Order: sequence, then C-alpha cells, then structure tokens
Amino acid sequence: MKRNKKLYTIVVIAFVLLSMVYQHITEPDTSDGGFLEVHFLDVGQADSIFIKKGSEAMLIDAGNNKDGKFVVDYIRKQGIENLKYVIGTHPHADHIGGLDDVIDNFQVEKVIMPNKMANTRTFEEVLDSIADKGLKITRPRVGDKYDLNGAQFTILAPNGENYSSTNDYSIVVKLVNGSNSFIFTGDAEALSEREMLENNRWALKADVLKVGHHGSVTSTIPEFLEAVNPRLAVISSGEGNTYGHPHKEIIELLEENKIEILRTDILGTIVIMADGENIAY
Amino acid sequence: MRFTIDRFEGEYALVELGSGHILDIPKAILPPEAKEGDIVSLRIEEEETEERRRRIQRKFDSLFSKD
Repeated sequence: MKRNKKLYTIVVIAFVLLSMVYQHITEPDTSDGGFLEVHFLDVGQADSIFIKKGSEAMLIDAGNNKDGKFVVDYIRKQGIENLKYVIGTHPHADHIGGLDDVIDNFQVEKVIMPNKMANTRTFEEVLDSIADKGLKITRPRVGDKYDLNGAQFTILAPNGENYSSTNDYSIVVKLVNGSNSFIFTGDAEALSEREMLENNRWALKADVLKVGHHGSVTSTIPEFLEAVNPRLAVISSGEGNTYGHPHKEIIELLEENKIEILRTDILGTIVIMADGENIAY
Repeated sequence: MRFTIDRFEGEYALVELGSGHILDIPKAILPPEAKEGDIVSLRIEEEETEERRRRIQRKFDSLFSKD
C-alpha cells in the first residue's frame, strides 16, 4: 500500500512536469509575422530600445536624463506620435532618465514599471510626468502577454518582490514576431536569471539577446545564455565608460558560444529588422 | 553641496546632483554605510581648517633662519 502510494506520487509529479513542458512547447503562436523594427538607441552608457510594427510602437527605457530630447526626436523621426507601451525596466537613472520627456511628448497608452522606487529627482520627475498625463503604472506580472500590432511580448521577470540589488527588479520581456524572437533584459543580474531558468526555462530561447546590465559580469550566467541560445547579442554601453562595460569575461563567453556581438559603443544606434522569418541589421 | 546616490557600479558611486546630472565618484570617499537612495551632504569644516592653518603657520614661521 505504502509502495503504491509512492508510485502514485511519482506518476502525478511526472504528469505535472510533462504537462508543464507540453504547455510551453505547444503554446499557440498568435503572432502574425509582418515587419518589425527594433532600434537600440545610442544613448551612451545607458539603455533605450524603440520597437515599431506598422503604426504601433513601444519603448523600453529612455537613457539618462540628458538623453530625453534625443530619444523624443528619434521617435518623432520614425513618424510615431503614439506609444502603446512604455516600459521603465527599473528605476536607475540610466534607464528611466529620459522617460519624463517621452511621456510629456507622446500619447502613451500604458506605462509598465516594477514595484521598486528610487530616491532621485530623476525618478520623481518620471512620476510627475505620469501623473500629469493622468496615467497609472501597470505592474509587470510574469506570464502577462501584450500585443503590438500582431507581435506579442511576454513578461519573464521580475519573479520576486524583494531583491537587495535594484537591478534584479528589471522587467525582462520576450518579444515574438512570427518565428523571430528577442529577449530584453534591462539590468537583470544572475539572481533574476536563475529565477527565470527555474520558472520559464523553456520559454527563454530567442534569436536576439539584449545582454543584461551593459555586459557586466553581474549578469549573463552561462546557463542563462545556454537557455536563450541567441544568434545575436546586443550590448548597450558607452564608449570608454568608467566601469569597463562590457566586461571581457562576457565578451569571451559570447565568443566561445559563437554568438555574433553588436555593440552600441562601437556601432552607434543599431536597427534590427525582423520580417517574421528572417532577421537582418 | 548635496547629492543623491542613484546606484553603485564596481568601485564607483553614481550620484545625482541638484541639476539632475549624474556624476561618478569613487565609492571610497563615501561613508562605508552609504547606500542607494541616500542623500549625502558635503560641508567645509571651517574650525578644523583654521586650526590646522594656524598650527602649520606656527611651524613654518619657527623654521625660518633668523639672520
């Protein structure tokens, strides 16, 4: 009887595990393909990513305070007046610095930010801009999906509520357009990467990885890179920055894995086109 | 002079000045307990500065040859 119970438990666990894997593999791909552009803006030692599909667009981070005008002008030049989503990955100044200018200058439908505040004027200015526009902040929930004109992104992190490093609150999203996929990591560090591996390992595979935390050794653990298994790695960092980003250990890890590296500190703004089947830049 | 600690990167602290500009300063010049979000003020220690100036001046004056 005892043995049967044990066997029963094993069978149940195996079934649950299998159905979890099955669910991920067979998750319906509702993305319709079509032309998607992903722009990694050259905002120096900071992040700002503009994404456009047809008439719909979104922004992930907006560089430092001083980059606000550049980001606003750049988006205008793309013929965009509406941003369906604005994501502030986490409240450090090199990610949310220019967000107040963006929110002031465009029609924004949804602002997504993690439940982590900063004590800077820079952060306060973003909150003031959000309030002035009568917007509310949407919290990221792992698994939540959002549509961008037929492309779709899913929230992969943060998976927890309390981190000692603000970077680990970073919102991580996976964007899928037809058979093309991108992962944008903000500054998520090893701890958040381990949580993503635990909760969503089979969803991490992507063609393009925005390397976490400007290529710092705090991020991109080998196991995470293996799960994403990207063809292209994009690093957003400033030429000659004080902190040595990207760190040589990360460059070596990417090279060992034969992943092509695109760096904003070398190339300036990088634009990747994804037509639903092929990726070009 | 006041600034807010935005974040730390390696051996540096990135601090936000009143103007909103961000500056790198070595972590070593901050109190060891300083953390993200802290507002730090710098001030000139006038009394201590004057005391030291007087002390060094005395030593300096006493070291001139008297001829």
